[in-house]
Amino acid sequence: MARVRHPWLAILIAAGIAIVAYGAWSNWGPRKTPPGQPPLTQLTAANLVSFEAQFNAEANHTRLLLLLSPT
Amino acid sequence: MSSKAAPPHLRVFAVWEPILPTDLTSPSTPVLARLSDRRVVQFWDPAHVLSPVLARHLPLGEPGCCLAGNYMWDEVAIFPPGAELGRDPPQWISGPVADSMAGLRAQFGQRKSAH
Repeated sequence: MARVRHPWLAILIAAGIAIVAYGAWSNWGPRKTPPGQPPLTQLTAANLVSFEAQFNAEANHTRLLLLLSPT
Repeated sequence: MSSKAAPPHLRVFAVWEPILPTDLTSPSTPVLARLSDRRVVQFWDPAHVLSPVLARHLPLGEPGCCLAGNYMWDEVAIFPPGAELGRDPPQWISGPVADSMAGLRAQFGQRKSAH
């Protein structure tokens, strides 16, 4: 059986592939909200009215509006 | 703010926006998991369509922080029962969010006393 000349190189390449794969999954993978929450919804000019309606439909509750950035 | 501290009849609308250079895509699953309470509903606003709606009804100079260009971000606003987005200003608004936790707890402490 052939010997691997530089096993550390194989490990390094495997680690690099794993890191790239994780980054790709993190950036482009499915976005799942926690259990009990509705799916993430993208706001657009077209559905902004629906967002306001949804927000105001809960007007019998105190509502917090959070504006955040992901990173 | 923990789930224990917040009142049960509370709804949280979390709107994520691309602000920083590292905000290349919508929030990932681990990022969304930071807000794990069932009372939360989460949105991704890549075109910043919500910011002008909120800003329109704020007193001049409020909240005094957290503008990226013309877009509001890193803020928390309280809308009491009866108040409508697009018609009424928030009862209280503050930012950055990390620095606003004490003020937020105080707001709910005050609201609890009032009832």
